[in-house]
Amino acid sequence: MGEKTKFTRREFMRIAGAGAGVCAAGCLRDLPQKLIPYVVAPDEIIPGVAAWYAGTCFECAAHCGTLVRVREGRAVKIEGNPLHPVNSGGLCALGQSAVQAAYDPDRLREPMRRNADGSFSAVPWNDALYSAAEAIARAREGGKRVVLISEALSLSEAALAREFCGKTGAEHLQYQVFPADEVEQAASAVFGAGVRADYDLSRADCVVSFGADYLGTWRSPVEFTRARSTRRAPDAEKGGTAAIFPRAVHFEPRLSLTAANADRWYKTAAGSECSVLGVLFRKIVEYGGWDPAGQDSGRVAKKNVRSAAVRYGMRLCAGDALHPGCGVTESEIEALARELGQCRAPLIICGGPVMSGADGERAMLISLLLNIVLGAAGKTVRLCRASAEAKLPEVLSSGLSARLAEGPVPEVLIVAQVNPFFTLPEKSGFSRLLERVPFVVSLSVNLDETAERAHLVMPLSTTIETWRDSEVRPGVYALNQPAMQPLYQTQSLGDTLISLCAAAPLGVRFAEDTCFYDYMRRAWKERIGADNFEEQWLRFVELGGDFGGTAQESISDWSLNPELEKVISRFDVKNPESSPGLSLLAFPTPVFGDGHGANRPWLQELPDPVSTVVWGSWIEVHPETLKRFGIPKNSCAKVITDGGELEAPVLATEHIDPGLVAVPVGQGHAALGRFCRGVGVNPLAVLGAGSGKSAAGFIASGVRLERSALRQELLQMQGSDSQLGRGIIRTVELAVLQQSAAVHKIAMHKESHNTHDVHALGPRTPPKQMYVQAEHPQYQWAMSVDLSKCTGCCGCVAACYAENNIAVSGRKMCAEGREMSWLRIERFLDGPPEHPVLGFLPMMCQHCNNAPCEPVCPVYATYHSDEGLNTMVYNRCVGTRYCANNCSYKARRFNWVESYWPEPLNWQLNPDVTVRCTGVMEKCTFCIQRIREAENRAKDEGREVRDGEIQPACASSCPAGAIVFGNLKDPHSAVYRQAQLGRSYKVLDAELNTQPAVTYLAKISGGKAK
Amino acid sequence: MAETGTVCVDYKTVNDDILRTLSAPGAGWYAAFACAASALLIGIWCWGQVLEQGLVLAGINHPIAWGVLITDFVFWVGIAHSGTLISAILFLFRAKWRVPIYRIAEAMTVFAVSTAGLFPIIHLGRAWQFYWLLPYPNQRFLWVNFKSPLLWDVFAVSTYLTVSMLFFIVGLIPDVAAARDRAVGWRRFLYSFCALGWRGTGTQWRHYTAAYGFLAALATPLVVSVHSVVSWDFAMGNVPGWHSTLFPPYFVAGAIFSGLAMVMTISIPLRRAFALEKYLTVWHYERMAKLIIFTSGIVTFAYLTEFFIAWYSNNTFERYQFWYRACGNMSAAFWLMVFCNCVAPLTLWRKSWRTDLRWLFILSLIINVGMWLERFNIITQSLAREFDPAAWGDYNFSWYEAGITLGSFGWFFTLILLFIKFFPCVSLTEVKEMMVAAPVSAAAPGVVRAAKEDGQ
Repeated sequence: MGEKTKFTRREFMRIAGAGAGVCAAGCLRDLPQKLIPYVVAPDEIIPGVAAWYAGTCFECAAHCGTLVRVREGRAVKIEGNPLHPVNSGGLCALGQSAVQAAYDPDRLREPMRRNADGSFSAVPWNDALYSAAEAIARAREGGKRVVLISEALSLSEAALAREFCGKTGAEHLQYQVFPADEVEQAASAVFGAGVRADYDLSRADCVVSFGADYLGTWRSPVEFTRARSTRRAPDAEKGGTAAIFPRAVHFEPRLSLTAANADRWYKTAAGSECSVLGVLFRKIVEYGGWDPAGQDSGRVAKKNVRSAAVRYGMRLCAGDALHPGCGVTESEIEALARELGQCRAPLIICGGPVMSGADGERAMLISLLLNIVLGAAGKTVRLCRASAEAKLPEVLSSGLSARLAEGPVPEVLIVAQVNPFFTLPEKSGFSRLLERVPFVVSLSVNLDETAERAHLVMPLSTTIETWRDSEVRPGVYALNQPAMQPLYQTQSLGDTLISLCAAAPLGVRFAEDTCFYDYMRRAWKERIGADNFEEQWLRFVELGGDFGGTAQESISDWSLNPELEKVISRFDVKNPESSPGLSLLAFPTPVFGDGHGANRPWLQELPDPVSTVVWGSWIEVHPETLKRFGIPKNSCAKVITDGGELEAPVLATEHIDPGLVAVPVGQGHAALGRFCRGVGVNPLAVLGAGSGKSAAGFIASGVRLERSALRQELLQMQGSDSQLGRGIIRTVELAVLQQSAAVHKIAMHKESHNTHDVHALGPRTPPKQMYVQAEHPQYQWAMSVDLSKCTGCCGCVAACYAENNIAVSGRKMCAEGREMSWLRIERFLDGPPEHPVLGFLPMMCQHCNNAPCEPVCPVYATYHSDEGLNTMVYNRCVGTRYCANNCSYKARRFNWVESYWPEPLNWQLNPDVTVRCTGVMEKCTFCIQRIREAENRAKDEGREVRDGEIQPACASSCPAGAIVFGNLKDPHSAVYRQAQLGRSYKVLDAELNTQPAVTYLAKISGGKAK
Repeated sequence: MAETGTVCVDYKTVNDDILRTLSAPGAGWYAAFACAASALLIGIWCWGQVLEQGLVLAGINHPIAWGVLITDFVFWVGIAHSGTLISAILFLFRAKWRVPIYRIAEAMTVFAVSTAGLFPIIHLGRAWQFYWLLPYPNQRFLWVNFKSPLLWDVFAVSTYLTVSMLFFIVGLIPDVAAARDRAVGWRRFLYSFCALGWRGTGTQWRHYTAAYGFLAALATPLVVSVHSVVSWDFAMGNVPGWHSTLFPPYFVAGAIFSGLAMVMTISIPLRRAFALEKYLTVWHYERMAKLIIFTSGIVTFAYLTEFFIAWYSNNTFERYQFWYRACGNMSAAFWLMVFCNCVAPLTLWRKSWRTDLRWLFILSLIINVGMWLERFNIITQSLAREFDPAAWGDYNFSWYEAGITLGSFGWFFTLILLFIKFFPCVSLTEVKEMMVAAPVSAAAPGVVRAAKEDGQ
């Protein structure tokens, strides 16, 4: 080999070096390198640290207090405000989903004008305001009618609307899908105008409710749930005894959330609730248990009032009788009457869409009179003066069209924040009227069904972007501050009305106020008084409102309305004929309410608590009825009413009156957005026309069922309805709890590790272990869930989705069993059909001490941390899914696809939590990001984490306060105390020795005041 | 001569007959190869889609996180079993009937393990990270979890693949040498390489025999261990229907059962196509049929035991699981399995049936279907009805899984078809040994050495 061809060492080094360089250069990744600092750092924004802003939830009429969590200028989560008198920290799923309303990819982003061909084109705000103002001005000059339809407005917005109407000559109509003022109407009839009645469940020993789904949808469900749960766990309270345990009896033709959680639910025949209530009234009076002898001085303080109430009540319910098949027997009513008579703090509740039939108003009156007779008025029925400001036009329900049709066709119609085209029946004629109005202006967040038909659309800001306020009840003023800048060119309703007035063609001004914030602040200043207003204002903003201390302005000097005689004579008492036909009930669900939030993916994916249906509607119908109409189970049916027809999958259930079919409200949108368009059906559309203001009814009679050619699967998330005696949900008889004086120490558990006793309760001593057990030097995080408090409302599930960036899978994936929820509500339904035994159990990763998932992972992607957590390392996971197979609780979820959030929904993602990629396993972490945050804080301050300092998302949002989290190593922690209770148990622990960190407290059954 | 009779041939005829299989393929082979290769391409495309879009394309869901892909894995591992059983265990026991079939059985083993080994990778959520299951040193100090049965699988399957491959290659040496001596061109180069300088000297024969016996002894425990380890994937889990000490023997018997069926599925057409009736006689098939009756009996007994234990244990979850298998919404799969694995093999008790190769071929297909269903039932039905009734679910059918399964058959048969055209699919050496060992028509019919001797 010649010298020339010799490959020298140097040459080799050179080529090798160059080669390595080239290879390395090819491996460069284009990483985002730009970090842009704040030139002027805004106050309150520290990157990486969340700011919380107090606000108010405007998703329903309850107006709960909220705390909005903001990271780097973006709202990422809404939780309940613990200091708020209404919800005391809990928040329902609908309320929590408000953050997705702001990031809805289908939101209106700028004002739009409709073209001749029906399409919309964007216009600048000034032009939009100008043309609207011009139309109003022209109408006013021509003496034409201008109408403003809004939702039920509160406080400053209401005042502004009144002023707006005064200045522009518009007529203001308030509209609400489900009337929220039925109690107010009845209270003013019974107690006289200006008296407001509120129900205080926390003090009631026995709650008897007619139709009102107070735990799910009626009035203020979160507040009622919280109040109910205060006494559902007598042994968990300090020094508690189980002497008095509240009992709930519910009368409703279908299984609502309240019926599911009642100690006793009577499936009444549709339309017979009022007569059942009437018979109960008569029995109580007959039985005399209301104490006419005057032994209880407190209860007979208003003896005259009470005898008057008895007289009026007897007149109202004179013709009532129980007809066979009404679902309740004479003797059962008698027993209930006796029980109520002996009860120290009874409460009768009545209302809801079920009671919207012909007898609804009468039933409301009887229920209030019965409360007086039972001595509940002034106690469990809190009476207070309605605020003087409430001088607003009455809130219309389905009577809106009738009212609109009363005058000439409006020249200009402004529809603000409501969607009557969707929520009013086809037959009511609203759509025809809308067509005839020359100029329709819609003020809306999304392009909903009504906005789609407007000539001009002005985009509104969502609640978390605006200032708003509300008088929740007399003396409680709630305030809402914007938690972030509006995402788009949107305005609040108040600002829009003000700038509309200020626009040139109208040219009217609201005193010196140029924006709604000034207007509202001025109103608050007037109310509070000028001295140290700034200071107080800041405090109210920080707190979320002026709650006026804890004392409510309840009144004791109430009496019966002198006009009551006249009111009562209106009712011609007749025995309601049992209608042989079938009726249709349109009922609200706890998840959707009136359906305005249907385009929020979380709500679509959230199972309905009782039916566990997702992504669609269903027709709830009795199997007998199905048979009568020749419709197979597990198919679709067509419901035909006078007002139209609808087709949906059938949900055959024994738990509905055979004379009734029920369809949930909220779905069936033709507009609003991509997630809800074409999903389900809208039962409101096929109801009858409706006449009165609130008693229009959500019930249509004369309904027929037909087979349907529709092929659609009913997506129920629950695997098996029955728990097959497996003891997943356990119950303890109240009597057993009461037998033991020290309720903390009932030991019902056999200390054997292979006990298959599904009723075993009490802390379990684990058997001798073959392997080394996990050590927890400092903390052992654990959770306890009180099933006696949990109502299954799904608030925790929504919180979990929001906190942990859980992907929404969509209808198809749910149908394939690929939903991603880390936390699910298991709903078990056992017992005979007439008296079903229902149980709800939130099931999440149990963080077992002996976790079956851990040893089977070949790559240590899941392991047991020394703080008792079953930890998941997403980066290490290769996706064998063996852990999911071996998890006895089926708490693990696999990422079947790359999760996807259409812009700007991804702005909601919690920056503290990883977004998981395809092919890895995920599951509940006990909100490890919150644990770390608290631990870091504690470490900085040189202390241990305090009990209650860490609240996982589910625990902090639970309206019932059923979830407790803490350190099991600390014998003073709440979670430790609960784990030691006599009715504690762990799911499948005795069978599998998994030793879960989640303790469940058995549901207390058989509640009856001792 | 009748098929069951003995044929007298000389060594040259043996060489001629068997090495003829290596000649240029005919239209039939091309047609078969085209089918197999298309199936393979379909499988590759399906897997590509799964890699692209995620396992959403598979039929698995929550709670059934394992399905057809793991069924395929266990199925192919099972197929791989009887090869080693026939070549190693029966070699040590000197069962004469194994001689003509062991080569094809061994090839089947190697290719079936190669097929099976793909599935644990295919089924991963992140298949591109499959090497994380290997314990390799790395600067992040990440290690694998030796408690996990899946890791045991990695070792069991890779060990099995290594040993069965070695065994296969060693057994091929003298035969390849024989082929080398006749081959020309690139084939000569290939065979020369594979023959490892084999000249047939006495020393080489002595070493060869020792090595072969040694490897046979090494492979023998693997027959039992591999499928036992695979069965632990299930038995070590706590799922009702999986968690059973019965699984290792049950799986091993099932594996041999299905493996024998697969040997028949392959060798019966092969024998016909290459006119090897002289070597693979009905007598051999009858022996295999008897072994099938035996293993079918074990499998049936295992099914009955499962049901008995579920009842006898008084365990709610187990009882429900087995009630569900027989009466649930997937019971058709269960009863089809019972028919295929327990009822259909009963026909073999009749001599006229078990000596009818057409029926044996059909039956072997039935058994393959049955054994696939057995694994499918164990995996999916157990997961469908676990402890928590709220989390019960049903399996979805997926075309992609079907495509990947088809692809695995394509991959397997592509390899088999290539093999039979490159290497002698009946062992020359052992056939000749038999001719020496059994000069007159002994218990084992087949070929005996003719009087004329040509020294090869």
